[in-house]
Amino acid sequence: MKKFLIEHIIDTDFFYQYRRSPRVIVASSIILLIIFSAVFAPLLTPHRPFDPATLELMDSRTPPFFQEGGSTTFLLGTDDQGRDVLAIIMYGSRISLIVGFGSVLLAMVIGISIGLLSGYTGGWIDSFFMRLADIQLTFPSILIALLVDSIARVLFTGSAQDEVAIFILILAIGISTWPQYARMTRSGAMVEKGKDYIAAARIIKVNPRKIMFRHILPNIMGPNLVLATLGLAGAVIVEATLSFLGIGIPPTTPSLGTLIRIGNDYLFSGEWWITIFPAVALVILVLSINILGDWLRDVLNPKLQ
Amino acid sequence: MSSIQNCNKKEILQVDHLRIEYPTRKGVLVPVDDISFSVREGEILAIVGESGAGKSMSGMAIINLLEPPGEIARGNVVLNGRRIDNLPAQAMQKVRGGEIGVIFQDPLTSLNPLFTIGKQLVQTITTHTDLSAFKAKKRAVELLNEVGISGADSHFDSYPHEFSGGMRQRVVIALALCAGPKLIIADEPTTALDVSIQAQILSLLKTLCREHQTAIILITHDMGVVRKMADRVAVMYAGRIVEVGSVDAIIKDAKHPYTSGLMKCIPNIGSTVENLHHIAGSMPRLLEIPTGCAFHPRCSMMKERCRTERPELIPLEENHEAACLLFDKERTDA
Amino acid sequence: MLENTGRTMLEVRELRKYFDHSQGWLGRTLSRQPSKTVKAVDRVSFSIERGKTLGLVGESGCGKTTIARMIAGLYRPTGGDIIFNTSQNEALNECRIQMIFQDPYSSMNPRWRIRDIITEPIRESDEKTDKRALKKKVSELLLQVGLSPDDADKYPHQFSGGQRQRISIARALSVNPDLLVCDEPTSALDVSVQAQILNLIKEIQRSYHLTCLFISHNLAVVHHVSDQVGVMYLGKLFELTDNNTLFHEAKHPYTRMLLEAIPDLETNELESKRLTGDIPDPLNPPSGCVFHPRCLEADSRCKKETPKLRMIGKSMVACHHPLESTE
Repeated sequence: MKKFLIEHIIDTDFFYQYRRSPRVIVASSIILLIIFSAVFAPLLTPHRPFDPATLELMDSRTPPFFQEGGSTTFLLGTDDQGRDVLAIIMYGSRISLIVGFGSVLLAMVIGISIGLLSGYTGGWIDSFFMRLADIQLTFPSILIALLVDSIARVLFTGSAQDEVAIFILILAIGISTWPQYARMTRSGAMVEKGKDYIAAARIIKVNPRKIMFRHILPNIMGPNLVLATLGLAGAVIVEATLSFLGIGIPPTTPSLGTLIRIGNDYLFSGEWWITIFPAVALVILVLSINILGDWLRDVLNPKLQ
Repeated sequence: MSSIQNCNKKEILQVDHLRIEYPTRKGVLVPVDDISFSVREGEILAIVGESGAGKSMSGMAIINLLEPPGEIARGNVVLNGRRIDNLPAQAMQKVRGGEIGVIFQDPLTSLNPLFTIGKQLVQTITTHTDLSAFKAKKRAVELLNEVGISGADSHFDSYPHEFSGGMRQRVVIALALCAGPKLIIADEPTTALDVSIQAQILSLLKTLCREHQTAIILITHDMGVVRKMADRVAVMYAGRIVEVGSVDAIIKDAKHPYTSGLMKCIPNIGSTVENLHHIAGSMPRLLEIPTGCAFHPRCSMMKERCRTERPELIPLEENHEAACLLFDKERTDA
Repeated sequence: MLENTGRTMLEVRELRKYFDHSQGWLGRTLSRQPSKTVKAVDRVSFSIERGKTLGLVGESGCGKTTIARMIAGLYRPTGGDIIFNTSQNEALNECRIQMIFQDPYSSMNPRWRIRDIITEPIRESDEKTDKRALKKKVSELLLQVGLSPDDADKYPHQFSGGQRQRISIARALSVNPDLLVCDEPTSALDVSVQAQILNLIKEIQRSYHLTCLFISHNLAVVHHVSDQVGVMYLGKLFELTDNNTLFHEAKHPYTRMLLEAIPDLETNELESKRLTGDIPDPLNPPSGCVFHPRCLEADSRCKKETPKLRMIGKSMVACHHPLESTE
């Protein structure tokens, strides 16, 4: 009897444990909400905040609706240029999430490929890559991201810098975080390598590349997904840090970190909402991702079953 | 003669209507369903069955080593007149290793890799007896000699990983005998060992237990081991005891269809058959245990009653019982 | 002595596999330890005739699994030859040797469907097979091993150990191999399931006219399936003869020890003078005949001289003091 896909998913152990963890349901709902609003930001916001034509300087520095002087048109207030804070948060999360997902994806591609090669082949190739990873791991990832970022800035100047800032950041953060995926994949590959189904494939002379990607890879994705989830949180934070320091995403298409930086200047002149709300949004986003990631790690751990 | 005339010996362990339950999200699993048996002083009782039959779990339940969420749902375990299934954890720890010795399958994980075997022996002895550390060390050396580890003095300070599997299992036997237990539960004690070592270890175990008059509950899937070691045998299937009797009765004259089928499956050097006899199908999963007699779907002698009625152990002759409706003479239909 | 008749399917000559267990060069230099080698397989020779089964039996460390893996192409021999007679049909596929493994739980990729697992050998050897032909083949194979064609879309975890071994057998048969290597195929199974699988192996061997190398530590199982039996110990082949002769007229003291150690169902005798000692550390094997520390017949010659495999009566025996049948 063939079940529908939805029925299949609902029937799994995974979904059962999902249903029983209220905080994970909340966390994942929040993440989905943020992603949804980030993707559909243009449709949801009253105006396009980064299009100067839609702005009214008259609206600038409006406080949030619950404070005196605020209005419900701008729920969380406006900044110095009249931009709706809620709207710029949505657009900001877009950028943060793009950099987050992008860098995790890049790190995974690099890390998993190296890990598979290292774990399956062994020998000096393994030693080489693992020493490389060891060296890189002695530096904090922020430092490495900084390094890549600076090099890129030397190569691009002026407005070109602003346009490619997103890609530079994705590259920087991606390169700084590949070792953890490589290590995880490598140990998984070493375990799988000893199993008989790999021996069966070797007997029929399947070429090593196929063995790595068709046989081993599907079996080591579990732990990597956990790393990726937690890595997403980490990437968003690193990006926010760099942007806050002024060397990340520029203010023309700001991320949450950039917004926090911009808003900082207005903190002490009383317009606290311009920096606090983006900061709260960042915290909620990262917290939800971490909760989800922790739960995933417990659920996917076979020893805790 | 393998059967010991032990009607005079008293029973030291009684297991009464033991039922173990495992709650899971798909329902409550019952890996052991209403089993009862007893062990007399100095007797070797083998609990035999295939994987999933519940034999290991029965042994572990006696010493309260069930993995949570498994628990004893019904029934009781009485050791020397005293109930032990409901003891608090600390009291049970004294029983385990003290009055009841335990031998597990894997000698590598039974011993702590960080302590020398001498230290482990001394620790166990001082925990379960009143001997001083000095006397305990002497006793430990004695025990090592008893289990055939020659040059016991020099091996005292060795670590488990320096020994072979057979030697380690000897140490485990020494540990089990430390406190002079009345009963040893041995769960597949030789399955992880090579054949030539297995025979030596079994011989050692049997000799020592006869000498010290220690009873053994031997849990195994290997009928050959049963033949060599046991006085009595209990055969388990799907969590129930389907047949129990003296080793001669079970091996030569098995009455329950499962037992007799199982005996015929075993390849034998004496005979050469073209095709081995086999029992169709396999042991049911815990969620799909059939109603009535658990064996009925695979039984060549099944009757309609077997689908609905669960058979009790019916006495057939002296020291031989089988849980099969074929022998239920009082209510056999024409 | 080891003739290559026209009917020989596999011949193994002076096969050797040595493993290097020494520490890396840095470790060795610093601790001044010499390199350590384990002679897992030490000059073993035998041959198998087409359509027959050779059972290799022995305890841990004897090298039988290493031999199986060398023959299957998983390890490269350190020395010696493996000669494989070509079959009549020079098919495109190279997969003349297939293997069935001991552990039913790790011998299949848990993420692949049964259909893909069974057809992997076919798809590897011949790129151009079409889907419908493959589907038909899968159904045929599943029926042959006692399963149903509906099982093709399921995953391994939905099957029991015995059923998985059936699937492994189906996979092996998918490319019509000439030689089937069975590495302890029933050791992880219950007795009643073992009987089913052994019967199945015998049956397909008959219908496919397969040559078979059967590895096991269980003498009774080997007795049931083999035509010829070889006994190994610490990398050496001690005795090689036909099935009945080995079990009723064994000449090598180690073979006798093994036979006495089997817990058979006839008697409850456990004591045996022969059963002594432990299997030695493979890193430090005894000199001369590796069995001499445990052998009742050993003398000074056995300590110094490694016996060679020679013909005594109907058997090949490597012993300075082979036993007579009446002993």
